[in-house]
Amino acid sequence: MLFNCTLQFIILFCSGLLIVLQPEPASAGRQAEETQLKAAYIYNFGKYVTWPMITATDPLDICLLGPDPLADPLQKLEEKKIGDREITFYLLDSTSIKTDCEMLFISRSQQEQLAGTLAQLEDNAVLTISDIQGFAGKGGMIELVRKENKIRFVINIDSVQRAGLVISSRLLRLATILSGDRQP
Amino acid sequence: MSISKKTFVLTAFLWSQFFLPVHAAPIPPDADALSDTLIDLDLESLMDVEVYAASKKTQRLSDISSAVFVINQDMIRRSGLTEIPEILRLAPGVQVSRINGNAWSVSIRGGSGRYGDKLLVMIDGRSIYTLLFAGVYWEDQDLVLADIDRIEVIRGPGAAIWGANAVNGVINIITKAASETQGLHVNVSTGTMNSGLAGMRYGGTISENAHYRVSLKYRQQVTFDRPDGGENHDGLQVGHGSFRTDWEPNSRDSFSLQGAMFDGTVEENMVEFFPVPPYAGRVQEDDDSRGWDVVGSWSRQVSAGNQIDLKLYYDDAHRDSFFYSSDLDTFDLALQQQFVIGRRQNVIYGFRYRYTGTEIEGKTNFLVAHESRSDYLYSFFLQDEIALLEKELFLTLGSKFEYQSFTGFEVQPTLRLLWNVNQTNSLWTAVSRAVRTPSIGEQEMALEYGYMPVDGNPDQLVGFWILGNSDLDSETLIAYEAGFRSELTSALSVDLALFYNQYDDVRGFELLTPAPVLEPVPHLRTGMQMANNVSGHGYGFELSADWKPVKTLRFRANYSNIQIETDEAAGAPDFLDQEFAGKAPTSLYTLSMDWAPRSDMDLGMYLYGSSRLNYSADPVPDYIRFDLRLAWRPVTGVELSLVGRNLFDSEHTEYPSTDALLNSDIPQSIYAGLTLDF
Repeated sequence: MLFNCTLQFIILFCSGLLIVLQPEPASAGRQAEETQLKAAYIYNFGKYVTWPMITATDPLDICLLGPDPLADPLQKLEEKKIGDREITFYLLDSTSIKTDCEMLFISRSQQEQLAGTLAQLEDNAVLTISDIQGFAGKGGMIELVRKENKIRFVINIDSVQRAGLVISSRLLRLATILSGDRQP
Repeated sequence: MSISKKTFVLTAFLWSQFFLPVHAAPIPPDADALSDTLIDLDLESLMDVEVYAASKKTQRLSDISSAVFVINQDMIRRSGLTEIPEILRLAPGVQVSRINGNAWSVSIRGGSGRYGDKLLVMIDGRSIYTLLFAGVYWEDQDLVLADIDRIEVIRGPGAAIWGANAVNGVINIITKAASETQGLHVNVSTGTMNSGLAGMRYGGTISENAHYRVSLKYRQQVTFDRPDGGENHDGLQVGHGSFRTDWEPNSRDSFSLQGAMFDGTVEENMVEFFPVPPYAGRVQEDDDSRGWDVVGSWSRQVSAGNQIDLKLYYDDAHRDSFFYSSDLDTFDLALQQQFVIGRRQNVIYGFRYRYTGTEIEGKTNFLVAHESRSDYLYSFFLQDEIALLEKELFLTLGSKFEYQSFTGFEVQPTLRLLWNVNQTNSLWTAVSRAVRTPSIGEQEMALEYGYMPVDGNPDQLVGFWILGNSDLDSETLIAYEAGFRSELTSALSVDLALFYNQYDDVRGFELLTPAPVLEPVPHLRTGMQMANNVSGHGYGFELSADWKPVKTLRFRANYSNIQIETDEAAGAPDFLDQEFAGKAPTSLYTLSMDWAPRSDMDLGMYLYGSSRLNYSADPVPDYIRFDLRLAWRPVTGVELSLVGRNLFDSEHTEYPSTDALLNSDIPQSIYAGLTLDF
């Protein structure tokens, strides 16, 4: 009886093994701290966005507006490069918005001044990113959303185009696309 | 001879470079190797990475050099298991024995029983370990399973942080934040074991930073059969309701308010003893078990690596059973702070105050010394994790200091060392002390356990009693542990833990000197009184492996082995050795396969095995249980599932009849379920 059970189980196991499907990405089943993961996303966005009038060797400025636990992992990005572009990190407070950042992450602490901040950035080629809820719907460009323990992102394509930025189709394919100022 | 100022400054600078960290940029204490590799992942892979809650950091400190296993929501769902104690089978080294339909014994590294008294269990930081009988009423814990984020199972003592009763292990059941349980979730199933099971949850948004959910569950379980045939009386009906609201007004603060209530009818099959003929008779009772709790917490991120947590809860538990009727009110307040000193030290400390008010009244064959009592606990803990070599070698020193009304002052220290050999291999070792304080029942109770006339003469009656002891001391454990974790490849990881536990002053019994008494009728009283007269040791290992060869297929295997021996049971009968050493099987194992043959289908195969349980009065043969789950999602948000439990076997027993409970055969069962998520 016992032998029989074990045998049946082994057969079931082996038949499962025979079915080899796509190779495993190294990331599956991994866990990471939220801020680290968000920083990794921001770094990746940098690879798939083209800024107007910027050459492939100019440094890339990543800015953080407001106090946020993302400061440390973003600071660490200075050790990396995107292509040949060096990364520089700036921590800004609400009184000193830098409009020549390539990427600007707006902290949740800036939620109340969000409309003003976005207005100030209008017509500048700054990729705005935030995890403020409804960010993309309010005219922001990329909103990081937590869904079922994973991070997803929403892109407001109109805001991106208005700023003269070009986003690669690879990034768009993975995003939830929002057109106009509607909520998804 | 004089040194120029320039040379001095330069020398000082060079020396300081030697001692000070090389990089000037501040690196948070948890920026481990993982984050470096995260950056190098492409977007598609990032989308597969799961986030763990920031709150986990507080536990991570203690977890880092101990034997931890996490059962996540995905594992719970795929297993097809429907009760929390059953789900604990998924973790290595956890002995889950279903005694009968509504009673479980859950234990780690020995100490099993209806009241697994050496295991501390918490739901969102609220202890569900009852001080009344030192254990958990598992049948009362019936959450909507989809609300659970994860269950952290820590093997080995956790007393340096969690205090008394975290002796052989700690189980933390952690529910999801309200923001992660938005929308409507409905789960209904019916089958041969749980004739009706319905769970429902609705989660909504109050404002952008505030969310709530309300959950309801009802479960009705049928009566099982006794091993010798005939029905037991061990069915269960339990209803459970809960709510949770989370509010994050800014990026630094988060507040949470949650509460739950339950009401259950727990069937019991008992023997009542009379001092008059026929002296004993079977009684089938329906216990009423109900309670409610409310938990509030506030967490503030002061700065990176500096966090303060405040939690308070109130818990009211009522049980009207065959033996007694009880009501316990618990108020608990805990404050803790975690901060970093420089780059090498991570400190965590905390205070706790707990009040427990107990009303207990003996009903059948059961007397208590005090019908009402108050118990207090004041405690402080301090733990420092020191990076002896940055990111590589960590020393953790910590201790709990607590004063409680059961046994007075207790110190429970731990010393832990972790060595990250490289990015994929780590070794750890620890030595710790933990105590188990006597329960209210053990201090208060007197149980009539049989009457017998001498030579058939009803006027010469001998009564057998089991008496508690108000002078009971704490049981102590000194645990020596070591472990090894390795990611052999990105798809295969293994975890090995070894332990040697030395127990002293374990609660056993002393024989009573026979004495004539007048209550409840004149008789000669014999029997036993509780005493701290057992010492013993347990040693063994737990091994687990996780292999995910391809994205759609995952195997897990656990094996654990334990030897438990009594050192001495001076002046006590043989059965004390059996109570201490005879209720844990030598081997436990689990093998599982989760396979997604198509993106809309899941197939899970689970094998749970246990070697023979050598309890001499009622040995339990080895058993293997095989569960199969098939699920299909015809459209998004709808899942149909079919689950068979114990498919290779018509029935088996998992635990002897002890603790005044009659065991049952655990039957083969099937159920069909429907889950909707909108």
